[in-house]
Amino acid sequence: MEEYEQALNECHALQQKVEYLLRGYSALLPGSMVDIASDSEEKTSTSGNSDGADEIIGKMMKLLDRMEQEGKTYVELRSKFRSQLARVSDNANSNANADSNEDAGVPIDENTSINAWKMNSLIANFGAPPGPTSTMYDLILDAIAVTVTTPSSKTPLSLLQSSRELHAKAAERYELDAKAGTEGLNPSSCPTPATFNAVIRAATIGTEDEEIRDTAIENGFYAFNTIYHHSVVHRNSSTYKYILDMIGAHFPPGEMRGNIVAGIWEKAVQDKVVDLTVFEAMRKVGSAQHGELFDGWWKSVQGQFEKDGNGHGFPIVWGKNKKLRRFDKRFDTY
Amino acid sequence: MLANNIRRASAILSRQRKTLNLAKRCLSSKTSASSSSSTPDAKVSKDNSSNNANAAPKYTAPRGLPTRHSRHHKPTVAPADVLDASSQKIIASMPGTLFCKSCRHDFLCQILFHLIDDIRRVFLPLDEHSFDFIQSHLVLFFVSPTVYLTTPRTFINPKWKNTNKPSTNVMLFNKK
Repeated sequence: MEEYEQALNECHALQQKVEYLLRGYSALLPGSMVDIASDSEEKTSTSGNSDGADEIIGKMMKLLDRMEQEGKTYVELRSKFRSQLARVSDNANSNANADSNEDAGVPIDENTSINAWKMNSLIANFGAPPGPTSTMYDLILDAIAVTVTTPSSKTPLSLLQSSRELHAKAAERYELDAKAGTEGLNPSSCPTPATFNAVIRAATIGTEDEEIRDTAIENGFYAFNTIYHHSVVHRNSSTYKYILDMIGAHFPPGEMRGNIVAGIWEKAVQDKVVDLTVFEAMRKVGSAQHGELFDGWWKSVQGQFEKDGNGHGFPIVWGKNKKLRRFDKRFDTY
Repeated sequence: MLANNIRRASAILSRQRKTLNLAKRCLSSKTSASSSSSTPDAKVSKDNSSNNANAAPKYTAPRGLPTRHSRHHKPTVAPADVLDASSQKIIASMPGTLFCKSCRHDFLCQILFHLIDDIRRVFLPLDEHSFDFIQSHLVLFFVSPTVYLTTPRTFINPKWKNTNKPSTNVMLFNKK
């Protein structure tokens, strides 16, 4: 534990530096988290770069890769050092008994396999490698979500794929920490609602390419499934808004879409995160014909809506967690 | 029983809060009454303070990279003109060298390099194994492992690439 804390202390300055740079890159993308939060003065100071969105994301990913590499190197070196120390002590013990049974030496292959096992266990039980933080992943995932959903994106498929990879890496870091019992020490390895919602947001891309559509659907439901079963992060209004948008963008209207959308709405009610954005997304999807059963049900639900009413006409308890579960209470983006 | 006790405790606490709020209101009304008599002075002092704040020199020198942060403040954003140069510096650096402790760490590194160089000059022509043994243990036990393992090995021992042997420590211990 002390070693882990020391590692976190050593990498803290670099983490801050990289997050600072990533925020700078994120501010260059219109509509991103940092761009929304920044003032007009800040915007003018950060608008000097003329790179395209894809290039900016590439640079951000290079920085993150470098951080990941540094963390892996640190863990590897630490394991090598520890295994060397263990080997020295083993050898010292074996030398003490060497005079009594010189011929009974252990074969070289067995020694190497034991050392390899030791190394692997040292690496696996360390926890998440120090360096990357969930903020870094969130900034890049948000940048991808903002870029992919615009029609000017040049490589939507590769961006969607990298969004899924990044999301998996961020989730894996928390699992590694939980396995090693260090998740309490390192809050920066815990994913946030933005880690999941950004992947679903990227999946709302409007496209006619079948491969991109399939990847987007897969990403959207994958992220929704992982957040649904996550032990720490809970679903919020944006999760449901983006998943409804994704279903509306890729599924043809019909009974099947109606059933899925009704199920998602019920889940939002159960999670008590129904707000205006979720209702608007639902109204957008539900406006098409989805069969008699769905249309009748949605008509009755929609009839309760009052724009200026408390709870928008719905029971107030339906929106009990709408602000509580936000990534940032000031914004409803994630 | 427990539930009843909790209810009673919460009721008592709420009563106490009400009395506290009443006391605060009374105090505030008194202070406002007393302050109303001295409003011109207060205005003058306020104006003075605002003038002083305007007259204070603004910091124009660039601050260092932000390392102190608060959840309640907006995180700082890097300006566009420093982005590429700064990130290139990080990306191009040697793996294992970015997590540093302090200046003392760098200073120790420099001393160590010089020391190893001296030892090499003395021991290497005589006995390669002895040199290897000394340098590895010197670095391993007196300085952090990161320094040892991220030190360019060619600097310590130019022949390390050609040797495809197990660690020298093991060899020496086995020989004994």
